[in-house]
Amino acid sequence: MSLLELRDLDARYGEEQVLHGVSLTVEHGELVALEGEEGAGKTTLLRAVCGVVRTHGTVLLEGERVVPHTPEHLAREGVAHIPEDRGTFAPLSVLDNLRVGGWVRGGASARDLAHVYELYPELYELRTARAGGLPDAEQELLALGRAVMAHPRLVLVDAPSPGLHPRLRELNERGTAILAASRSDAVPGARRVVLEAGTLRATA
Amino acid sequence: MSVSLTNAVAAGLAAGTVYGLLALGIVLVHRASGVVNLAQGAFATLSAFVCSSLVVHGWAFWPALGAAVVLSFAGGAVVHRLLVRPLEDGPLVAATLLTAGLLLAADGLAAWIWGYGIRPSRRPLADGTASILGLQLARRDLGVLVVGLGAALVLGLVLRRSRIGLGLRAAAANPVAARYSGVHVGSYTTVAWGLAAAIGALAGILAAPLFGLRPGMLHLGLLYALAAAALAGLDSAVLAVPAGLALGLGLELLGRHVHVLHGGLRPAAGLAVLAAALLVRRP
Repeated sequence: MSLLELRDLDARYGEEQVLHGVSLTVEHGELVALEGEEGAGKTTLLRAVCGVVRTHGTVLLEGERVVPHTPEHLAREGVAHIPEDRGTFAPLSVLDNLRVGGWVRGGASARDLAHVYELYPELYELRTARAGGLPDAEQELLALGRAVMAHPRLVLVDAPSPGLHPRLRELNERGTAILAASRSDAVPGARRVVLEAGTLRATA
Repeated sequence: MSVSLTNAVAAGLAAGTVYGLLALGIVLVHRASGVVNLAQGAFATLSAFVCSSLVVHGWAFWPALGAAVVLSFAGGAVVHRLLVRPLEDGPLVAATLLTAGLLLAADGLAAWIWGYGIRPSRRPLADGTASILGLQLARRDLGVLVVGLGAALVLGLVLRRSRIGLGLRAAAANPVAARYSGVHVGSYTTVAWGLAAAIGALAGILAAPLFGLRPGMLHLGLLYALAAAALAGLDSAVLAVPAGLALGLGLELLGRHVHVLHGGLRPAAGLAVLAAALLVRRP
């Protein structure tokens, strides 16, 4: 049974339909690169999985329909989303950002924090810094650290920089499934799927 | 320090505590939902009336204060859920206009129930003076300072240290990302409205013996609280109370030297601070 399955998924912003009948599966522990040009619908597809855009179709997690189809529920079901803007809580410290990451586990345990600091020692050095003041690369790493705090089964990541690819592969090798959307520069070793104008055209 | 100057400083800080607590409520609501709650002062006055009525009906002061604060939390949460939340998807001006209506409605309700006259109100500390570091301070002002600043400190610790505080700060900082992390942003916005009403209730109860409990008691207090909130950029809970204290103290001390500021032109000074803060901080 697939970890994530999308069946005939449509998504729209108001009157504008962006996704047209997209069907896609992500298996347990799989690394999938979702490619496509600007405006192809990659970001919308990730947002549609999380239920923040109006969708029609079916989203299944381990064969179960996702109800309610909200980001809060998906987070509790082990789906972490790293949006293109990295979702940084700018006024909060790096440590507090990580604590928010552990929200669905009832709070950030010392063990989970130690695990993230072991994976990403840079975050330990920056733990008291204001997150909004970090350079882009470190905000991206913080977003990944926040995702790891939730012990996700699946990480959706929008437009990861090439610098993040080794970290994503490392996380994937530990058993976490990853669906990474990018215009080009797919994460090495990923199964590639291509979106064109909101339709899944081909897989490679 | 002369006795009159000591009294002026204490009175200014006591009034500033009230402005600061109201400003703190305004900041909490603005951070959580983007709305400037113009009814913050009227809610506070209503809560002071509730506390006063409980005392008149035989309750001791502190349980009455606690009950009024808890009821206000619930009232603020209900107002958000029933009236404000349905407007949150639209332009912010709609919810702000609603709070202007709530201000008038709350004052009207208070007048309908309790009348327009000044009602009796209790102070946290009995009358008299207390000697601190050789200074003779009015216990009336001291009580407001201790209770008000103590409550602000406790609220600050809750925001800084607790899970509820983390949820509130995350929801305010980046609501979309907070939802991706599993935080129920709508619920935390409701909590923010409840907390703002509760801290406002305390401000109203502390203000009652200073300003005289009557409908509209905090209309001018709202102006100074808005000025303090604007000085805090409408988003800094840490700066809101110090800004209120500075404003209360500044107005009181200026009033000693610029006599027109001791009376009718004091609101104009508050307005000038509000306008300047909005121009400089541009929240």
